[in-house]
Amino acid sequence: MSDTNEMSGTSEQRRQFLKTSVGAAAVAIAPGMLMFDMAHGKTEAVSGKVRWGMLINTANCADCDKCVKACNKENGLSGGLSPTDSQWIRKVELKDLRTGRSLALPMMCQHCAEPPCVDVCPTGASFKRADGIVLVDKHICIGCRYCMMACPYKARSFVHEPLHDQKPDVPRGKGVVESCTMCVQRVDVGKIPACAEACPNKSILFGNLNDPNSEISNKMRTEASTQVRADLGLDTGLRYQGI
Amino acid sequence: MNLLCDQSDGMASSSLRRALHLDLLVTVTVRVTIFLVALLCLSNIASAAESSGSVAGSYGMPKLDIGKGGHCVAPPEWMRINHMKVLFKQRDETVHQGIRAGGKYSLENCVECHASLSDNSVIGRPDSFCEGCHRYEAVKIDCFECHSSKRSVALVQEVPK
Repeated sequence: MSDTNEMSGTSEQRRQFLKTSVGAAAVAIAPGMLMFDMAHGKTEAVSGKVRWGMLINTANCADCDKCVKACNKENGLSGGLSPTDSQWIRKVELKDLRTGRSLALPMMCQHCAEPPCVDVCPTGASFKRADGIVLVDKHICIGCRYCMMACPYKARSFVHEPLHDQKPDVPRGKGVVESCTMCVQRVDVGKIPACAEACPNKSILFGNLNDPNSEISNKMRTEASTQVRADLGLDTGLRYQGI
Repeated sequence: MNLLCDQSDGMASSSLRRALHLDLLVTVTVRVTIFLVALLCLSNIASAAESSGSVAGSYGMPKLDIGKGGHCVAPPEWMRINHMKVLFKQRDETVHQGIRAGGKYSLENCVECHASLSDNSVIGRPDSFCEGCHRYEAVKIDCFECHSSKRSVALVQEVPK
């Protein structure tokens, strides 16, 4: 009798063990599947339900260029400052001559809702993605540089020299125009842009402007922010604080 | 007068025609035989070439370094004809619609499997996976002026000499 009791006890234990291990396996696999989806990006096209934007607080920008460095590293830029070097983010320093107040800010493609670069492009290479990111389709770009002249922010660069050892996710080449892509290769797999990630003060807030509950929308609702050259009516996706 | 002449001519020519027919028949038979023999020889050469490992019996086709290889996303015969079409389609979907998953025809995928195991690249040598055929066909590849021709993580570390 005691034997059977022991037996049934063992089988009960075994059953319990099996149940727990199956559960544990499920718990272990589920995030893995999620990670797979995240790492490999979406299978559907981007939609207008999302509009990516950034809110940049310039309070701590004075002695820091970590965003520029991170951008150069992520996108394989040389980091040179000559007129023919590509610069996707520039550190701009401003000084009010009357009051003497000075400030610095990172200036890059503002990802306008009404982008002038797209208006002037003769080939359709300059385009705005459904989620608001303004890009150059370098397969169509003929290097005419109209967009560079049209951009009020001087955000675009032309590649003058042949390039080597580009990053697999960021193809770049001679003869076409390029600019900040809001790190589209990262955004599409659920990450945030390199500059936002690298900012030591969390001064670059990246998020969905179309979602009223996103952190960026909440902050923009409660705190003052400005568009650079708001008078042009371009409805920029990047907003600044403290300028 | 004309009529008479025509008739006599007709009589003579009919026998000539018969002789010619025979001659023609012989020539045609000989030619067909030669053609068939030639065809047989050709097919033998082709099958020999195939068994020795080069591609589909074409002359002078390059032997390619297919890198890691393995299961291609589609049969190689189909890919030879259509790779550029599927690459263009996926390219447009990725650039304009941000679709980065589910598409098996990405350039990065090609390079990942087919970059050479000796130099991690699909271009640069006469037997490189992309360059080999493109040199043979005299078609310029623009892809790698901008895109990386190398595997993201090198499979083989260079052996120090």
